[in-house]
Amino acid sequence: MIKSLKRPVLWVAEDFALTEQGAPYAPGLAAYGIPVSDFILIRTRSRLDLWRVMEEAIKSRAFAAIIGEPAALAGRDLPALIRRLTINARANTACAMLLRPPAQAGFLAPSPLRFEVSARPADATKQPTPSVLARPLPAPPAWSVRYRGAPGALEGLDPERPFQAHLSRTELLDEVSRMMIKERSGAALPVHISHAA
Amino acid sequence: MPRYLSIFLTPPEGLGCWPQPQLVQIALWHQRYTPLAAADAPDGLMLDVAGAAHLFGGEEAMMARIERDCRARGLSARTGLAPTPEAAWALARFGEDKARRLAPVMADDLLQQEKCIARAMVNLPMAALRLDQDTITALSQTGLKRIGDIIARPRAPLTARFGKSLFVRLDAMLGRAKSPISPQFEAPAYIAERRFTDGIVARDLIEATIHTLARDLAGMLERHDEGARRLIAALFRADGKVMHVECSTSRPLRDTRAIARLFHEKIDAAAQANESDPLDAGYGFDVIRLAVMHAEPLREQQARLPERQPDNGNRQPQEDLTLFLDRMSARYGADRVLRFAPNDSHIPEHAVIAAPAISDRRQEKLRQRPALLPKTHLPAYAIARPIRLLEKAEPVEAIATVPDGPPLRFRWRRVLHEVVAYEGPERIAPQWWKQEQEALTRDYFRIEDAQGHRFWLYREGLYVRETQRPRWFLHGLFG
Repeated sequence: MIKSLKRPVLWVAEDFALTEQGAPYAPGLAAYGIPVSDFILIRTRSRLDLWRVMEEAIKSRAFAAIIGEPAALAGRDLPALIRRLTINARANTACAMLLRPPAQAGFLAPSPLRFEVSARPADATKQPTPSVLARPLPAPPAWSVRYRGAPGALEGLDPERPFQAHLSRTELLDEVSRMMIKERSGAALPVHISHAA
Repeated sequence: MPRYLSIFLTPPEGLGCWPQPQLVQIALWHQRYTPLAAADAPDGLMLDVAGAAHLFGGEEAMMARIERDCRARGLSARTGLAPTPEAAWALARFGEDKARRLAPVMADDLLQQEKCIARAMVNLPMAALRLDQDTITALSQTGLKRIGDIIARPRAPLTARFGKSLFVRLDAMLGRAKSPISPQFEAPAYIAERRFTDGIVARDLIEATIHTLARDLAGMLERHDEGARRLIAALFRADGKVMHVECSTSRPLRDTRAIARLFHEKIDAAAQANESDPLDAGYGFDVIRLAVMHAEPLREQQARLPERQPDNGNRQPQEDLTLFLDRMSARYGADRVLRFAPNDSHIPEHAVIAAPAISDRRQEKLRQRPALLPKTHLPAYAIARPIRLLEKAEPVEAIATVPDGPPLRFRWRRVLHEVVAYEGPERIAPQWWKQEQEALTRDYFRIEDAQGHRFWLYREGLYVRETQRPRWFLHGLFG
């Protein structure tokens, strides 16, 4: 989807989130079909700035995808803020995603789509081993994407029965994109990332 | 026709001259009369007022106003106006009260101008030539006390005795040699300003004025087929303080609404820090000036048909993008809105540079080069690069079977990770040609732990050859 729109990808992140999780690394992202020249990073000092940038980016309709990464997702105003982003994303047919820290993965948000993404261990028996004594080579990065449900989000998917799909790195973005296209009008997606933190 | 106005400022009591920072501040304040203002150490300013005097009711009125304004701020000022900076300097300090301005002569009549200056300078003392005290004393001992005494004299004997500076100064004063001033601040390409009888304080009014000035500038830019890349709004406060608000754009721009919006973003960001008075208006701004500091060619484009989306008007995605980047850069600072470009370095943290998105000249240059990271496919080495790189590699405690082998397990941020698969080492040597004496060789490993997390670790230092105790660092995350 990102490739077909021929628009850049925007990553908005709080300073602390980048310090904690690391900054997006262009050579690595290029492996997922995001060319260096089509990637824009905006660093914000505060969470309020992050919301504002995301909202403006959604309204601008200039991006294939907008990814927001706050350092923490908490606060009484959070549902209202996510709801506001969702309405804007629907109105502007924009693809916006919120990455949530692993520690706050359990927090429910009023988003049309919610996924939990986690690293998937490779099947060691299928990986080539250079020698008898050596350990096997690591598999290419892969994730488990778990649909966490949301009221009335997707046709044909029961929010009460979460599904789980094992995806390779090339399939991950396409799968999420397909779901969003199915939803037709675009959505703000809190995606829960869990990795060794 | 050049016109220079020199201001002599009596130094503060107890000091023989003005401290340079204070002089620069006063020069900044005097930009309200002309953008070409320079501090003229040790005790004055020099303004290039060509084409500016009519805004103040003529040259005499301008000189009177500057002296009056200086007095109102507790400064004792004396002005002199002439076609050359040296002559203006001399008149401000040694001219008679009624004759401190030399009227302009007909254009290009340099001979007439020289005669006119010579007539005005003939009775001034040698000190008016800005000579050092020893030379003035030596000239005085030979009976040469006034400038008129040397104008008509043969030059060779005087030069042999008193040095070249004597006639260099004289020629500069008479306009025989050029003596340009060095303005304290960059000269703008285009300028528009509004003056107010009473200072304005309201933010809405200030932004509306900037919008109006942008319209004036757009007309000038359109006549020259140019667009603004860098704009500065100078707000002159009634008490002498000057505020500058600067905005840059990623492409030549002359859309007045877009320009006004950029300044709105900037002022809005300042309002977050100080809600009551974001611009520190104090008693109000009596002059607001908008200047285009850098302009680039911009051809008029054919109007486009509206796109499918009704809300989007007839704008294109590229136009939306540049507007968005300009606004975000204005609001949060250009160093926070970044684009990436490949860099000629094999060191992972230097392989890509993050440059401000609006400074696209460098970006374009980098993009035009044979890219290290092509858009469509990856070079072989990029396959093993993580999607996130820690800003600073974090030390980890790792256990390996042999000192130069892969890790068996490691502890990062107090969590122990069991290594089930690895690939490496990929050896990255330091950049010896940059004489990085302390840099050590890195051996990178792609690691997978029991939970499926993929890490990018490196061991710093070759065992025995570079260090006895190699250290381990975590540098990136694959997923």
